[in-house]
Amino acid sequence: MNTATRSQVALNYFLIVACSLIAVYPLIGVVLASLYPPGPGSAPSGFALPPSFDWHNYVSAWNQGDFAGSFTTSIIVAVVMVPASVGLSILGGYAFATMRFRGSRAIFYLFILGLIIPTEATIVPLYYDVKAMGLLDTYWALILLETSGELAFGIFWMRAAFVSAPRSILEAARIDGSSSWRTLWQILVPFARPAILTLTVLTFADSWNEFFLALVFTVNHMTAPASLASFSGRYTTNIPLVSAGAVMVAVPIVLVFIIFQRQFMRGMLTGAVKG
Amino acid sequence: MGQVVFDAVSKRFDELTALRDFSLNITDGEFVVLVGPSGSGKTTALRLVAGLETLTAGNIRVGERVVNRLPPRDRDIAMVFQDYALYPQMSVRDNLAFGLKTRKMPKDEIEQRINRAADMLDIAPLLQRKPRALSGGQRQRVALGRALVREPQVFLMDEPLSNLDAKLRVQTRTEIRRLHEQVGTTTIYVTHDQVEAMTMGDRVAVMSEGALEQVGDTRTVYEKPANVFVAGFIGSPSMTFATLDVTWNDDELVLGRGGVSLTIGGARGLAEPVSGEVIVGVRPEHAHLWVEGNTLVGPIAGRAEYVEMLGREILIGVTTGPDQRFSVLASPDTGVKPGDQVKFGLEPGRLYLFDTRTQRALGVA
Repeated sequence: MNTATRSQVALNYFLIVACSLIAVYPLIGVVLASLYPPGPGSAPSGFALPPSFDWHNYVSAWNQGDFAGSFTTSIIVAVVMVPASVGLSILGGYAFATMRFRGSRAIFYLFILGLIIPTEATIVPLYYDVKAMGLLDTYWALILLETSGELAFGIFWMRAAFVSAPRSILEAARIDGSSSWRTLWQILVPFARPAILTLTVLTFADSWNEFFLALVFTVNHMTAPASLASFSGRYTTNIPLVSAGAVMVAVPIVLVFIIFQRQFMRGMLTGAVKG
Repeated sequence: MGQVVFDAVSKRFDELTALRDFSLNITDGEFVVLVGPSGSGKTTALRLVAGLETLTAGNIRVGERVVNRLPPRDRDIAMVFQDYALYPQMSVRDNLAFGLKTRKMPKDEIEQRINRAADMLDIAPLLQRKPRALSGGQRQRVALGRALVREPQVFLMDEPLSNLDAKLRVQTRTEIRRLHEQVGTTTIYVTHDQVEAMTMGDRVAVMSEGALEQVGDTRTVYEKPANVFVAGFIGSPSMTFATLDVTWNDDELVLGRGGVSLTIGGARGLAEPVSGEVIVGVRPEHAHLWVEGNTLVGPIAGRAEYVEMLGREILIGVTTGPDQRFSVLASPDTGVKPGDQVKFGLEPGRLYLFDTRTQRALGVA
């Protein structure tokens, strides 16, 4: 039964609009700034519209920042790392959710530990490991480190999704003669589709935003955010150009969120609201 | 063939013994109902046959084979779950086909079986739908269909009607019975509802606290309960019990305590000698309001504590002394109200006597 009064509804809308504005304000500011005439003298501020829309900033930023190379790196890393990480998370989550084996709880907590320890704490030994493997400044350094970094959360997430599946469905599948492999892919994965899509989007966002690892482990294989950082370092005073670079780096993630928005929200709410 | 044998089966979960030395022979084609309250071990027994739990001791045979260590898929059983357990992302057709595809059955054979089951269960128009687009009753029929297409040696049903509303439950009850008569597959059916047990089973196995209390056809279990538990569990409204002292007056058995004194001429049907004190069980339908000149044993006087309207009859709870209560069925026309003093009598030959120590049946008087 809906018991919200008109004033409650109005208050809700006010809060939603206020929060949205707070979230969107800097983004709109960056987009507007990216359209100002380039040059050190150009000083855009807030929501003030530029005197003329200078779309050429994007071309300049793209060329001068070598975003073609860094976008290629980011795409290659994401294309390999996202399926690998999500796939392994599904397998790990499935094992922890449905199989009883010796030490399963201890191993699961070990994975949870990965959620708590920041990358910065392990970066020095990681550097020497990667160096010993001869992978410094390669795609593989980023792919392997990012994949393993995402697994802690991914397994935690997928385990929760699979645990929420009714136990009787798994038992029915066992009686129906389904192997563990078939039960996973034909019954549990379709069941957990919203959770998997959400994990995919989150993993992609993490991969695309990867900055720290790229900074430490690569020189010629910078990711888009890392090259944006070096680009903005070189053009600190040319705000329109830096803004154009920032907008370009953000576009893929925004697109992915827009495309998967509905499924993403469903995945986030699974378990929170009875369907 | 599809016989199922429990041979001294026990199951322990850590400290908890869910099933204790459970033995039961179910013959091919039989419909046996395991009935008991929560925690009686009936579902555990079923899950042991399915292979969803491993037994701690004993043997289970399905057909000619001991299945103790076989995985569920190799036991040639099919199970219907309380919550239906349909695969939510698959259509009804795919739900029915899943267990056949995993067994690599030829496509036309799968198609034939699905169509046959769909006709039997009247679910042909639903085959393309997803489970979420079905009502509870339809889901239940699909769950039955999924078991049916497998054509197994044994059907296992775990409280399959408990999620349905009362009217649908009665309908589906009849349907499951009809289905069983049609296909003749051995069926083990678990329920906590004794009415369901009595209406459906060829035989009923009454369980309590992990042990088998009695097994027999419905009439035997009702008329010759083996102990106080079975007597109280089977039958609705349920049997009432009172502990009374025994004295013998030549051939007459006198049961009395407090204000109650019942003289029964010739201790009919008593299997064992009775002395000291006994638990006397009386079904409400065997207790009637006293009318001068009737042939009942009594009268017993007491105070009506409550009166429940059952429709055709009223159920009067009569307190006759401390810890002594009897239930009496009477016509609503008698107009008995709570608080009234009432006199009633018991049908001779319908008093169930139980040992106070062992709770075992001693006979009827």
